[in-house]
Amino acid sequence: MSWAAHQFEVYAVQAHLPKKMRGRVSFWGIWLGDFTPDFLSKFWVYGITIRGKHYGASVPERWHRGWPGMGFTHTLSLGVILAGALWLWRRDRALTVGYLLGFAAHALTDVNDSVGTMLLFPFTTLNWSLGTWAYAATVGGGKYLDAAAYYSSLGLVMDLFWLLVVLASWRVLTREHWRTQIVPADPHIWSWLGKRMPERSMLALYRATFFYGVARMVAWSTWAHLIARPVINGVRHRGYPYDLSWTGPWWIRAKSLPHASPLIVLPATLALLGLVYWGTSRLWDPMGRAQRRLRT
Amino acid sequence: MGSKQPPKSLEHDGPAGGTAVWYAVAGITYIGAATVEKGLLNWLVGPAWLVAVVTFGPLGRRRRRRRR
Repeated sequence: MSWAAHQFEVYAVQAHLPKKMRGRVSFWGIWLGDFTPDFLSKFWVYGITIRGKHYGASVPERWHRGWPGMGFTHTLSLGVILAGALWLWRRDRALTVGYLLGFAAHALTDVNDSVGTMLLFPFTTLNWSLGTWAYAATVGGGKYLDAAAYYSSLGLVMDLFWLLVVLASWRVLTREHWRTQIVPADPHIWSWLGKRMPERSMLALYRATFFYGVARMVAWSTWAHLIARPVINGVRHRGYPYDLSWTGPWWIRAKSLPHASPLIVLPATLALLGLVYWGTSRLWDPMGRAQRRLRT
Repeated sequence: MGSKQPPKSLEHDGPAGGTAVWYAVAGITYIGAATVEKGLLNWLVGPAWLVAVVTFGPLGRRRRRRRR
């Protein structure tokens, strides 16, 4: 799974919209779409322990990304269905398109770990994985071991990559961008918030997901490499060892599910990303006309 | 200008430099606290922490100045 990358990609999507959509796609739509897959599935991955008894998935990777399980929450087909339902409910192009782009960003970036996602579900339940780093959610290790593995592997590079993408588009975090591109695309939400909080608070709320992404990356990395004293293969270490090799780190067994050939995963993922952008771009104008018709 | 104009209700409320200090305060305190207590590292507390510091930090400072 990806960690802070999911926070950063919300802004990266916002910064790289097709020209005709700039300033017109809902930031909250992108945020909600990106948030949905893990919101629906992740609570049971680590589970909870009450009075010494653990409640949670017995096979976390199957629950999270597989079938049978909640793996369908990380598929483009569910993204399309939920975006369609959102359109039927709200008839709001900015929100619907934003939601689909955010959802797709989450489902597609999660192909990077060793479990991947069922990209072509329901046509096939095979997982599509690049195996860039180890999927490390375990019943015993919980969130701590998962974080340690992620921030010791190419997962850390993934987070830094998305952070750099956002920083390269730094204007997306400015007050000017928020005023001219974000607020006009979501006038009702920001207007409602504007009656309850000052501008500086709304701007902070807009930037808050980025802030949280940076904070969790720094805090988990600091804990994993400066504070933790793990025992690996009987040897006590000062911090979890880094391993930036493919499907690392070496000190944890990478989880996996039946999957498609890794050789076709990257082209297929890029093709699907292109398809989502092409599809939303083609639907943008007809949706706008339908929205205007319904509101006049 | 048209749609590029900000809504009237959204007024500028201070120099960017002054606000940046509160972002830094929020970042340092949150990362510090969250490194010790991982339970704070979640999508609800993180954003709320930033909004609370940026909102109430300047208010608290203003009140302290008035008292002096």
